Amino acid sequence: MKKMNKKTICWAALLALGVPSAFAAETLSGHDGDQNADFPVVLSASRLKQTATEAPSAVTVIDRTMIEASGARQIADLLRYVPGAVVGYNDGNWPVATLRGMSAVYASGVQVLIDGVSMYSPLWGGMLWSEIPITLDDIERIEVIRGPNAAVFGPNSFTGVINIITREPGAEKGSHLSANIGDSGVADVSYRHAGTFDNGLRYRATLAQRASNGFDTRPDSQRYVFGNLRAEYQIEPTQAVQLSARWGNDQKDLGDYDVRGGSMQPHTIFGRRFDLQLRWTQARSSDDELWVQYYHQQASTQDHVLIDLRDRFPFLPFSFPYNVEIDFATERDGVELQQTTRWNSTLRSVWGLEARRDAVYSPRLMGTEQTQSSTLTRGFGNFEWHFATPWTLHLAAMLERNSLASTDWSSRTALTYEPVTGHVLRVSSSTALRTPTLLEKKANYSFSAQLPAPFGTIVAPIYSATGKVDSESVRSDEIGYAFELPEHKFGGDMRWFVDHYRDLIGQSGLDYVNRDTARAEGGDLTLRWEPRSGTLLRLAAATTRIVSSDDLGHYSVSAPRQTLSLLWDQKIAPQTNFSANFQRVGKMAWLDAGENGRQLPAIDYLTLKLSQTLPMNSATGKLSLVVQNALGRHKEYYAGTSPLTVADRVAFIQYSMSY
Amino acid sequence: MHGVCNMLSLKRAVLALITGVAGMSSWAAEPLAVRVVSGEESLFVQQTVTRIDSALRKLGPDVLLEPAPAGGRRLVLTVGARGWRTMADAPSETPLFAIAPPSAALEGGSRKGGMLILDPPFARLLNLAQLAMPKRNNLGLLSSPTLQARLGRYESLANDRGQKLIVEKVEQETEVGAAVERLLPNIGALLAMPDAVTHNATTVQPLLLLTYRAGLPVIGYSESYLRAGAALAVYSTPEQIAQQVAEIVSAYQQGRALPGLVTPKYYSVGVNQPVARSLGLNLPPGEELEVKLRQMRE
Repeated sequence: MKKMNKKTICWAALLALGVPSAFAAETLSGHDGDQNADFPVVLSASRLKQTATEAPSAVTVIDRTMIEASGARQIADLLRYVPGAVVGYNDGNWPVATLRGMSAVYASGVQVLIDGVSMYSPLWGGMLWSEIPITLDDIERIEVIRGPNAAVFGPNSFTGVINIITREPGAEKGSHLSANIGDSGVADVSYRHAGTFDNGLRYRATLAQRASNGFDTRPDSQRYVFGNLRAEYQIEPTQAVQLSARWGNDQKDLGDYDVRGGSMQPHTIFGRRFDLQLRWTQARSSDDELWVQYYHQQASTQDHVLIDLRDRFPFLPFSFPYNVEIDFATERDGVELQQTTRWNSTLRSVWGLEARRDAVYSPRLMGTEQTQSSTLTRGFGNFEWHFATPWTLHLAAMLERNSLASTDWSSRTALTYEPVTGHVLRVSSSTALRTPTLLEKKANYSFSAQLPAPFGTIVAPIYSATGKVDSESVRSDEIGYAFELPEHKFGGDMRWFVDHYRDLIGQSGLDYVNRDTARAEGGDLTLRWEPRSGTLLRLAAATTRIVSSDDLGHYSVSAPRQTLSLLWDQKIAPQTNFSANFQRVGKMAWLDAGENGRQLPAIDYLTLKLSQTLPMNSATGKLSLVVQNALGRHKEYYAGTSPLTVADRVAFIQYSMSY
Repeated sequence: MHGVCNMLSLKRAVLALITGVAGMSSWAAEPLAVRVVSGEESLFVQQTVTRIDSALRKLGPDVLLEPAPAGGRRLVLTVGARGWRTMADAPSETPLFAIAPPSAALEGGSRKGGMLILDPPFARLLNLAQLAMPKRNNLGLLSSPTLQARLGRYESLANDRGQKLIVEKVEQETEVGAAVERLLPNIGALLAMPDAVTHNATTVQPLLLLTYRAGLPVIGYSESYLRAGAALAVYSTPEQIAQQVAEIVSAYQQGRALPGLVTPKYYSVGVNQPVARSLGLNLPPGEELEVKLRQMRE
């Protein structure tokens, strides 16, 4: 205070000397040169979110508000917000998510990234959603590109891209404790801590468990214990390094109580996972960024299944229990570089290179003691050119060389027109490839058993890949309109698309081959409105129609004709919040559900959440009641009775405390 | 007691003014030797020194950069906090003109001279907010103890413009994240005024990340802040500072007194278009805002 007085006197003197009046009247610096300091680039190109009016593709952004309102326990459930997306449960702890059909447990046409690193399984090609070692609280936002975008995001960006962006360690400090306790043995708990060391190292660490008994109708309990760490260090204002490490330990029941046909005896699988990402970033502005990263992933699963050989060999006169060990281990290592450059006010470019090695070790699935591997190298360039107001041309191309497929191009051309600020029309055309997985290319899966005379050794071949299979391809054309009215807090987008799929991979006999074609056509609409403070209304609807040759798969019914997502998030008192989150998925069939393409009836899924913030002295607490699947029982995934997969209502209490 | 030093400063300033006027005719023809001093500071300071050096060289033969021949008139320019600290208390009769000095400079040093403070007037930030985002009238401000005395005036300036200033007090830099979170539900934009506690290389991380997550723009006060992620900023570039300094040195060489304290005569408005667009803001180019800003009353 004394200091202030001293300065005030100084000011009187300066005023008397005729210092410019506007400044002298109200400003006095109290800093020590920080105005001259070089700040680090915080909002660099890779940290900026995509917006519907800026992106050259249809984009859905699932932000923190939507994550909080979702009442979800699994990351996959957040994708219910995406028009045209289907989230199903193969069992109570095995969520599956697909975009635009081609739906299956290991739907391999979706690129899933966490902080820019591909997470889909090198073996299956699909995503193991319940084995991602991050909590919903670790997620900053999820950006979903609804459609092919291999030209920028790499192979597997075939029907869409799901980019999960985790929270920055620099945004928070302190501890956070969270727990879900409720029906069906729901017992989730997580603890995280974030802070900054004196040397400027920022970190965020989470230790957690997600557990539940799953569906009543199946042996599908899961206990997933995991942890993650994200640390960042600013070497100098323009350079930073980031380290992310994640591990998970999975114990999950699998099988069917009513064992018939190909279903499995109840058994427990054990899985482990470890991910590492190291990234160096040089950012000079939000439009000028270079990063180089190395990543490593390793996962292993121990899956010993007890089967009855008589199910496979009906000629056997007696029941013959036999243990099949379907163990596998996968690895992925890669280096990647990406640079964003603003050349001038009209031209911006992003280009990158990546080299990756995927490897699988599974004597059972691959029929060899040798590790099977594949290498991928790719380079891409993306140009955004505002060639004339209000037109922008987006050109992107990627050259991909993969040891599992022919070298080929993917491309994307988009033209956007913004006649009125905040209203954008978009026309785009893109091509993409879906490389065969290691399983599709190199599987040699069988088991043999030594039986007493007169049967001798019997062999049961399941897959025997000849390796002739090549990439699937798609060409997608779309026309879209997006608008953003920030003054009314109202925005949305709509589009119509036509996709032509060729050489779809299916199983023919024991081999995988390129066979089917499909034409998917549809449209979607998303509207988001905050009519007043504390109220959020959101609608996302889609219609899809697939016409296919349906030779090796029931593609034409692999997407629902309609999906609908409705969200109402309402603050009903200063400390109280309510949300209702509804989804309808029209009737459809999962490609691998068998039953000759028999369709699952439409599913209505409603989640309700009521939250109360609890005032505390030096902490913030929140107590919530969540009811998932509030409308009650429905069949999931399989239309038939074996395996019997019935989702029931699940209610749980969610308590969280930050301190 | 505290007034003593300030009164001394006042006396020095008045004396400088009187002697400047009195000696104008005899000094007018004399060459001036100028020494530019800075410490190893930010890129901004380094660039400013380079630009000043270059601008002074263009002033002609009557302004010499040291080393210069002995004798004649001399002037020391300090750039940044370290430069000022190096020279401020050195016993010397050579006048000192400080550019972007630390807060201690305002309390008076032992050297006669003047200073150029780079802080934008708060009214300018308010005007910029009004110009760029006319519907965002609830403006947030973080206030450390050094800013407290000015809050009344700031609030009054905001009220004059139909804006509402919402202030969160911060005692130390570790409180910045929590303070920003308290502000977020109630504001449409966050104004940044230079302050070592609230805006530094450490606090800018949570500040920009949290405001961005909430979809709120930050209006910064430096080019560096703009690059870091402020949606827009008003600031003086090294070239603009150098131009103003060259004008002051030239006038001094021709016999005028050094100004006691001046603010940037030349400034720019910068827009971080990628950040602005990502926040759903449609902002005109900085040059356009700058022209309009100059027409507004401060």
